[in-house]
Formats: sequence, structure tokens, C-alpha cells
Amino acid sequence: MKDLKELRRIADASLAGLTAGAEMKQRIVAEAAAPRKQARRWLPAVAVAAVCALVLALAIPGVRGGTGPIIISQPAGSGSVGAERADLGNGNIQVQMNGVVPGYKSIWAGTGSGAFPLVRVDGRWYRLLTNQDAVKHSALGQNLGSVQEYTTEPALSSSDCILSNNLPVGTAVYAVKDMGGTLVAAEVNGGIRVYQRVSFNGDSVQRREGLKDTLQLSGHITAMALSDVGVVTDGAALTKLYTILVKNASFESDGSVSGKQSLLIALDNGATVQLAVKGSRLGACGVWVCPEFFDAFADAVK
Amino acid sequence: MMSETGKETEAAEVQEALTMTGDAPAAAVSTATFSQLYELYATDVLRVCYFYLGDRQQAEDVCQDVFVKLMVTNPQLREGSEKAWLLKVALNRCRDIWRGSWVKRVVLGSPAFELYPAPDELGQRAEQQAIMSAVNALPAGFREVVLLHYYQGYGIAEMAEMLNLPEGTISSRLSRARKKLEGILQEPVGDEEAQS
Repeated sequence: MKDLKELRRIADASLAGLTAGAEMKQRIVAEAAAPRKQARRWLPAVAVAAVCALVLALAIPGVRGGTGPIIISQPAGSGSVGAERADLGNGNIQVQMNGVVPGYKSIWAGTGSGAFPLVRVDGRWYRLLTNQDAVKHSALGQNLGSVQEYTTEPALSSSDCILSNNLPVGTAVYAVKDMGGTLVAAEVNGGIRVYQRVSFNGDSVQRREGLKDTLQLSGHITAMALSDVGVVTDGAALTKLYTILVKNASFESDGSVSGKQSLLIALDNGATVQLAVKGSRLGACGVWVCPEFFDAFADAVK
Repeated sequence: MMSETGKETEAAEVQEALTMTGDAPAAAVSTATFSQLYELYATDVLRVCYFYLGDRQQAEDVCQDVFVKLMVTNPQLREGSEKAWLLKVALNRCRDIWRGSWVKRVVLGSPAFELYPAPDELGQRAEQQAIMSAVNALPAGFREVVLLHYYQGYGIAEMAEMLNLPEGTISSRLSRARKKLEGILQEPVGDEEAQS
């Protein structure tokens, strides 16, 4: 019989090598000494809980070229409201309620009748991913510039600056280290939003870009999950699958794939990217056809 | 990145600290006080976080965040209640991270729970692994009460205050957690209090 009164002894013995040392202490002191942002006033818990039961609140149009409106909205992929997503534009953008997940377990921030939460950098579109809690500041790379235009109608913009329908003007946008043009990120209210390269408004790949450019993940994949098929975590198998995908996929269109499957690719920086799947077609930044990948995936999960 | 629920909880904790003093937060906690509390409790906080999350990096991040909050908000706590405050804040944060990582757990599964024994404890690893993994495999709500009660030694009343739950709920969760552990370990799980 296991005696739970022994848990203290067992746990301390089992975790004796796990201690909070001087290095962590120094980091704490340094971080505490850094300039702090002003704490924002929050809604009372009851009011927040009431709002959480609704899909969206007020519709306040965005102002082109100005800062984003502060609107209480239902954030994508989560069941409650807070400043982390409070500036997501309303009206054109609808987000999913917690628990209402498509059969393919989408990890993209939801969309309604208009545009999904996005940012455009150098003419390339990136869509907000949900549940990226694990991505740390240390994953951020080069500063690509700041948002210069906030608009709820990104497809109508005639500018070529960095624009967004959810990041306020002035927000810095960063590359994600080693991800090439696949991911960008921005820090908002102390958290990190991660965006994945996608098609939008008829724009997908540029010039001579191939899948290896828009899905530049080599050496950083820790797992692949194809819904309704299985999960691959073996390093050699992952390398093989990725190579098959980027070498054999052929471009079909600038459009998108609407299906009931997704391919989730987990990365060692804490992010997960998604491609929508239908048959042997994959969609993220453009639609690509690659039956060889799906054959190889099925073999890998046997 | 903290979820919206976590942000609200964090704000509530700041408000609680403000309410307890009745005015704006005092200046940052003194280095001496911080050092003392760190030396006394940081390792326990870290281990509880690791027990909860099963991820060393995340546990270290949470532990760090908790002590930064301590330094910045300088809550006016009753003497002897500092550890409870630290663990309460840590568990709130762990809970938020746990909820936020559902995609990976559902699709990719949870990684195996790793032990970090001292070199001379390696011989008892198998026994330790079984119960540690069993506790780690408990649902989050059960895991919290087991960690606070059996690992950190808090009583029902204290836990009720820390977790903001009725005492009856705490007792019920402890009882259900024991049953759950029996199912995982495939052997009886003993507790003097439960049997008396």
C-alpha cells in the first residue's frame, strides 16, 4: 500500500536535484527592477463572467491610421475576456467561444464575416494563432518594424506599410528566430502574439517562394499531428516527412482549403503551426497538393 | 503568455494586495526580506510548480514570476502566511498555463514525468517514479489538493482559503484524489486521517 503521508519524503528525494538557485534569484531581482507598465483597471469578476457567456459585444468601427479601439470582445480560443485580447476589433471579426472547436481542432484565431486577426509585413499576410502561451521572448528575432496602420478593412488598404486589424499602431513586429517567413510575433500587454504566414485577399506566395519559404521549419519540428490519422514524434520520421512535403508539394492556388482535417506541426520554440487539410491538399499560405506526404504519414503512424 | 483568465486572476491578486493595505502598493519589498523568503520557500514553490506542470522550464518561469510579483507588489502579509501566498499565486499561474496548453495535451499527449533525484537516491527510483507519476497524472483540481495537503502539509481550512473553495469541496477532492490514485497505482492508497 502506498502511504500518501510519505509523499513529502518521496517528492523531496525525487526532486532533490531541482532547486531554486542563485541564478534564478538574480533574474528575479533584475526583472523586478525593470520599468513596469501601469496596471490596468479590470472589470469586476461578475461582469467579466457575464460577458464571457456572449459571443461579441459592441461594434465600434476602427479608424484607419489611428490606434486600435479598446473593445471588450470574446478572444479566440479562450473562454474569458481580458486586456490580452481586448483590442481585437469587433464587427468584422468574430471569435470562437471556448469549447466550440471545429472537428479539426483549429488553432487559428476565429473569423466571422470579415477578416481574421492578422498582420501584414512586406506584403505578406500572417494570421493570429491561439494558445501560444509557451512562446517566450527569447524566441523573438529581428525587429521588422512597427505597425503603422490599424484598419478593420485590411483588404482595402492601399499602403504598403505594416498594418494590422488587431495590433495598435506603434506595436513592434518581430521575426521568430529560425522560422524565416513562417511566423512573426508581437508583444501586446506583456504577452506574445504569434502569427502564421497565410493567404489573404488573393495573396499567398510571392515571386519565387515555395513551400520551403512559407513553411520554414527544418530542424525545429518536435511533432506532427494529422487529425483523424495520428501523431508522429520520432525525429527521423519527422525530418523525412518534412522533406517529402517541401520537395514534392506543388502549388495549386492562392486560395484556401476548407475541410475537416488539419495538420498541426509542433515546434521546439513552443509554437504550433497549422495547415488545413482536405484529401491530399494542404492550405495555409496558398493551396498545395502533396499525396506523397499523406502516404508517408500513414506509413509513419503504423 | 498569460491567458485572459490568468490576467484576471493576476489582477485580483494585485487588488487583494492593495485592499489589504488600504492604499497604493508600498515600495518594492526590501532585498533582505526577499532574500529571506527566497531562501526559505523558492525551492518548494519550484517543486510544486514542476509537480503540477511536469515541465521544468515552465516551472522555473512560474517560480520566477511569483517572486517578481512578490517584489513588485509587496503584499502586506500576516507573519507566517508568506508561503501560502506564494503557493497560491503559483498555483493560479500553473492552472492558467495548464488550461492554455490543451491543444498540445489533447493532440500530442503529455510528456513523461521526469524525476530529478540526488545521486545517492537513484536506487529507489522505481518506487518514487510510480507515485510521482501517479500524482502528476491526476486531474489538475485533484493534483492541487494532493500537493498542498500531502506534499506541503496544509490543512483543509488553510487550503480552502488559498484555493478560495469551501472546506467541503477540499475534503471531497482529497477523497476522490485518493481513489483516483488507487486506480492509477492499482493498489490501496493509505492515509491515517482517511482511515480513522
